[in-house]
Amino acid sequence: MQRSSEYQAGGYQAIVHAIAWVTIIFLVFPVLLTVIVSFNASFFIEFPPKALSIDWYGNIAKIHRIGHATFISALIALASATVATIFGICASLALVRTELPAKAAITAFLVSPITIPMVAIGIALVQFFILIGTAFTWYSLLIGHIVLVLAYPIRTLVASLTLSNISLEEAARSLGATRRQVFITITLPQMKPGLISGFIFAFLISFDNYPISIFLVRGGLTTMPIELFNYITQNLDPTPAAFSSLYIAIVSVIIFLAEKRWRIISYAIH
Amino acid sequence: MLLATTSFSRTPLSFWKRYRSGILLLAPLLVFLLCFYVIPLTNLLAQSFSFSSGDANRHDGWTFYQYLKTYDSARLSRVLIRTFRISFITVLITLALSYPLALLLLRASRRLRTAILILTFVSLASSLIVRNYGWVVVLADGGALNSLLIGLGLIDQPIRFMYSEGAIIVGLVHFAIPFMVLPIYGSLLRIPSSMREAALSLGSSEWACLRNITLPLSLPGVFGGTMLTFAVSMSAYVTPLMLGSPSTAMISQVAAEQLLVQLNFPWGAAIIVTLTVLTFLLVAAYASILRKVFRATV
Amino acid sequence: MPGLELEGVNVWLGAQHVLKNIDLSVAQGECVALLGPSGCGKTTTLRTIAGFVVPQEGRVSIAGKPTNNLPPNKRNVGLVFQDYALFPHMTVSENVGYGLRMRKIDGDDRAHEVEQALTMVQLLEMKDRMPSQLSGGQRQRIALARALVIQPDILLLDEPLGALDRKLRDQMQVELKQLQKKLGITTIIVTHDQEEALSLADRVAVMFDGRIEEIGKPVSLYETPSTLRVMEFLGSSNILSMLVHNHEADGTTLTGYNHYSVQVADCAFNVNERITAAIRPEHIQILPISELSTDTLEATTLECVYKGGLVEVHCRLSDGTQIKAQSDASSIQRLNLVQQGLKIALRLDPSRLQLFRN
Repeated sequence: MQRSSEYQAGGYQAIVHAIAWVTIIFLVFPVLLTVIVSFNASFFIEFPPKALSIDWYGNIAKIHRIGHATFISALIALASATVATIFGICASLALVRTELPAKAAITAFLVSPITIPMVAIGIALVQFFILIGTAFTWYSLLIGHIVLVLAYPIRTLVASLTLSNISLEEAARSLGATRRQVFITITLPQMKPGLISGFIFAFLISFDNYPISIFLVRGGLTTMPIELFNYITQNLDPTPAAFSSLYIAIVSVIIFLAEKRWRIISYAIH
Repeated sequence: MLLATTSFSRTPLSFWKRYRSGILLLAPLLVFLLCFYVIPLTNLLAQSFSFSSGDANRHDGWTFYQYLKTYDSARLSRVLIRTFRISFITVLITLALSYPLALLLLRASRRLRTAILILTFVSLASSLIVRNYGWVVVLADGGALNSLLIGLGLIDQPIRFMYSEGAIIVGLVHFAIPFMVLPIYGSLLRIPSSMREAALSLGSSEWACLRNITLPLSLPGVFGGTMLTFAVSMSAYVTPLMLGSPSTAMISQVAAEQLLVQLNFPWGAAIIVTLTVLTFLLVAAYASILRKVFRATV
Repeated sequence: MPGLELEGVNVWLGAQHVLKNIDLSVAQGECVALLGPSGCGKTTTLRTIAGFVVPQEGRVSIAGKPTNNLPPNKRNVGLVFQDYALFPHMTVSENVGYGLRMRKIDGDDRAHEVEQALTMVQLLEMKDRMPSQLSGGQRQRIALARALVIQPDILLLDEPLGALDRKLRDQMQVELKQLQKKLGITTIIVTHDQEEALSLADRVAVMFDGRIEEIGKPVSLYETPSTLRVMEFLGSSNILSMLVHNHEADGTTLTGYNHYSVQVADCAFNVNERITAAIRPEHIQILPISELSTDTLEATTLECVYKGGLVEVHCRLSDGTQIKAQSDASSIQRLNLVQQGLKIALRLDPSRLQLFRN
């Protein structure tokens, strides 16, 4: 069976696609190399590796309190993403479904943390917490992260809700559903794209954060990016490469599964 | 007439009644932000208008001293210009790389598209520290790039790529590409395919179609992506910290240095405020220029 | 020199054989409609002519010149899309002038041509407006002007009147036909609306499943189609099973259910062959039951649908076959036949009975 084609645009397409592939390789390149270097037997970061070994993976535990730090990062990320998403649900409902004065201004205000340099937020918060005496506790770290990630679920949820169909809710009400039932059975499912993408964004941004965390932690409280960064600045061996490879592997698997199950990528595009 | 007057009356009672559910929903969030966002930042802002302990001629009360110091400081001007220069170059390179990628995504089969998007997401999800470390691996003296160049016989000695503006730009571009590709791709999706076909049937080459039709109509996405990239680059902290040196410091680093190391809070605060206001103004100017130049439907 | 020639065109999209051996010859200045249900390949044919689809087999020639593998931007075709595809960020004149701009016609020449084109569609006063400020009908005319100003060898219209409301559609049908005739431009129209096809085109090509089932003048296609499928697709028809009884000197006798017999003039089928007969509702005469005879069918009225001047009488034969007959309102009233459940007699006009193989 011969295959007939839609018209393809020769030269133009070749150039555009070439640049695109260069970009893709650019994106992937450091990740690939990190994985390769993690198997390098040599102490220094060198390429190509002369001998292979998995010793550095065993050395991961040597990164100061990395297990503890990763655990805290994950917990904080989970908690801040959850709280931010809940706040986001309230905010989007208020902005899209109810009447409010100066909605544009309110929206701009709620989303503004993105535009403030993270260093500013970190410094301002640590000073504030010192003032009220709760500095360097896990809950002040949590609060800092909530402020950081709040804007993301709000943006995606507002977009989701705006695209959703209000007549479905009205139909449900006309069939006798109470406000609460309408919310749970009709509104919330329609917000699912925004919920999922907002939560995931919030989680990732929180987990990854350095500039705010660095000001809010001390002593027993620490996060993964901080410990990893400390190790990198104090040591020259490729242990961070092993850790990074492990981290990226886990993240890739999670994203791959999430795409299969919830099609998060299509949702993020809108 | 009477009805009209009644429904538009502005007594406090009807204000509350009308906005009640909205206000109730937003209240916890607004209180939270007030306590932990507005007040701390205002405190910082207030500090920028005061003297620090090491300043000469200090007195209690308001002053613009810190801002004048910022304005006068030669080093700070250099840093500001450098920050702007780095951000500007980053935005241009990121755009040049991201737009073709978005175009590829448009034409790709579903499987290829999903694969590329997953890759982009993984890039996004990988910790910034991890990603910058990847660039350390590539750009180090014994790293991949130097090994490649030496292996190809192009150079004898390794070139010092690390700890330079170039390295920072590479790191920032790598960070920004997902933020640029996704909005542009979203914008491109909204352009009906008949637009391109109409242009072609009228005799337009693919390049002319890109220039006259696709680019203007995708401007909302380009706009969003470049704004985000610019704002993020201006306030970058981790990337210049890992890939740069003290001589390539960017504004956030200088501010952090004042605040953490020198403990000069008023000046540090003033620097941060200057950065924020400057970024905001530049972005706003950019927005209005873009709208005028392209007359696009935003 | 034919305006358009398609010879043995075969197109596969993916694994699907979308166009099967399409042969079409269109005279210069002729207007041909491609009519068919969705998925029949009519749009793919149009896109093949425009150059967006490259056929795996076959040849396409426009105005006598073979197109080979010419890309769409090198063929001189005027394309009007279903959604009009007006560039939203350009004014009306910039839209209309785009094709001229691509042909390096600038300045006063371009302005002049644009004005002429806009005058032709009677929208000169809109030249500085944006497409978003125009109504649907106006947008369609601008799209038309944009396609025509480049003086294309062929005009391709994809569902041109589909998005317009009834009144506007009727009006545009007349205007479009007049314009096409005045310019003498070879035109291909793709539509799933048979009324559009029958009223606009010189010839209609009915397509099913990637093939052209039949092509001919609207009248012959409607009154004397060559296949049952075409008959059923165009307008309404009533299907009856009949038996060829006898060939006589002045005609052939066909027999149907319940002693019904009718004599038709032309019958190429053999005696004792079972055939399918089809007749249009407007060729069925409705009579009171008192006039029942061997050349009429007995039926029970189900529903009368008033269509403003015409009445559709839905009835059922005793064997359960549904029949739709149509007559003008006054004759129905005269015969006082409007009641449900009433028995009536139907006389089929033998000269309008179309016969098909089973």
